[in-house]
Amino acid sequence: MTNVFDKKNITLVLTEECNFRCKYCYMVKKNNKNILSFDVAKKTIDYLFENRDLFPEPESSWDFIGGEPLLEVELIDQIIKYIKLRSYQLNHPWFESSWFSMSSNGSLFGAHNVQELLRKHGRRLEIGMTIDGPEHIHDMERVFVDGRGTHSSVVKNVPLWLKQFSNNNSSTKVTISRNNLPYLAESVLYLFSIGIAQVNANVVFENVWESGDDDLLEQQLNKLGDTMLETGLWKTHSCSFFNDFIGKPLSKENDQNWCGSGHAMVAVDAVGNFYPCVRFLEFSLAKKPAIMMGNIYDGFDTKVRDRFVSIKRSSISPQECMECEVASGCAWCPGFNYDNDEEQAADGIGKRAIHICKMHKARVRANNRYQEKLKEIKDLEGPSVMGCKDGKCESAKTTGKVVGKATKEETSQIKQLFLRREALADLFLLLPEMDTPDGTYEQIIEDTGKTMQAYNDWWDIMSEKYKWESGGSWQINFESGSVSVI
Amino acid sequence: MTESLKCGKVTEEEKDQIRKLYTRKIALTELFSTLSKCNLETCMGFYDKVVMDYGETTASFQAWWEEAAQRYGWPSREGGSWKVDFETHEVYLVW
Repeated sequence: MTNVFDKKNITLVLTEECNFRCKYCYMVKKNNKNILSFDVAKKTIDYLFENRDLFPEPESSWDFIGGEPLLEVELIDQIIKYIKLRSYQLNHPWFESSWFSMSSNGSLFGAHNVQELLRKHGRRLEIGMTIDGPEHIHDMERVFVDGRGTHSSVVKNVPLWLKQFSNNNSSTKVTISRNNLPYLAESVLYLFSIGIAQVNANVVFENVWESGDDDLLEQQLNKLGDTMLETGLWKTHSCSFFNDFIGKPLSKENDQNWCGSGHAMVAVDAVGNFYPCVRFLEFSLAKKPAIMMGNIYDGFDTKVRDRFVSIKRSSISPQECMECEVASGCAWCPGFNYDNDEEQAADGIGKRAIHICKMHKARVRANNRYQEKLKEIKDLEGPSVMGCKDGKCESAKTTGKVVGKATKEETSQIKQLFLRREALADLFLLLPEMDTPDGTYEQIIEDTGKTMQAYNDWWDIMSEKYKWESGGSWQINFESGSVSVI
Repeated sequence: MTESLKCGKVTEEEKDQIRKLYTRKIALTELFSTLSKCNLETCMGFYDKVVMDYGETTASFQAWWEEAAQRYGWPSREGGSWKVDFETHEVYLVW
């Protein structure tokens, strides 16, 4: 028996090739041979759709990964179209609730075929971009195959990317290695300066950290935190190193694995093998063989899945971690644990690697200092009219006057109708370029009509029930159920 | 301030006819808006098909009301329109 997560995260490994050769990349065996074919992708999608007992989650998130996923734009387009059409034909719940994403190195973002992809699927497709900082820092690690720096090829696409993803609070991911650690503050402030509002950063898990690196991390974070507080950047920008929730002790009951590998997550390679996540594919592993969970032909191996389900914090962590006073927010990666743990049998999953222990503690010290200073500033400023917390201003997203609230169940109903309406419109848009069975056009129109009517009825019934003030159009916040008139 | 006048009632079959046309009309309106994102080259023929479909549906929708109003002798007025309550089958003139 396994828990059902809200969302199944499916990673499709499109290609093991990349036009970059970043020095810290965990994908150590890049090649241009293993490319997912559309035929295998189709069989994978069919398998996932037809085995609802194995994949019962109400929503799905499809992550296209490489190598560099944007080397395979046409394939991505074909796959998304097939998912939309097939889930519709099968009346699968994921029709309304499939989301698509990918992390790109950003160099190909401005290409015509990428922009076409966004035009067609942009409503449900998010593309993340990785930039490490200003040119001299970024180019230390992120280089082309021939060794040239990649900064200018990425940064030229940032304005377009920010424009297209401005609604999603533009964010980027920064990986901190020994090489770029001395420039951490400079890097994050540079990213803020080019318009990126949220920087998600982490230190590498590998055994590279030396004595004194923790002090350097603390100094860098103090420098970054002080600048954010002094300049007011904390109100509009955020960096994941600073967070209210890190550095607290964890109770014994708080025993879950760090991520959902093999459980909420499944990865699929070019020939249709299933893996717990992308870190368990051969090209991600330096020392160990891959761990598979069956394949699309012989079926999904639930025994391997159950081994991953059984991973608990207490089952993989040393005693010092279980007793640690600042345990919250200290991450681990099951894939890296597996590759790193030489004492384990090849098919074991691995004890928790603790190479980042001192680095985490340094982060906690800097974070505590930041949070204390932030509290002083907030106390001086009085109640926050913007409702800002941890650099995110919630009320800035809300427009109009709040006139009421729907229950959780009612909110879920209208959200479902809204998502179905969008999904039908997206599928309709793709009809001219897809081979669809006769009657699909009529079926979509009929379904859209029913959905629109149910959608309009919901607003009529609820506004009557709760006597919501009118005088404009209503909108609802799907998170809180709060209804505003604009 | 909207005002309304009850004009009469339609049969179950008539209610189904106008409801079908109504939902098709709102569906095409909704779906039409998405075509602005369509690539002109790929969508030209499709765009024409949807425009024609929308035109035919709107014309059928209008014709249904005119025929029904004539058959039942419903009142009309400038700036007003008829509406049917899909639950009760009652028809109102709204202005």
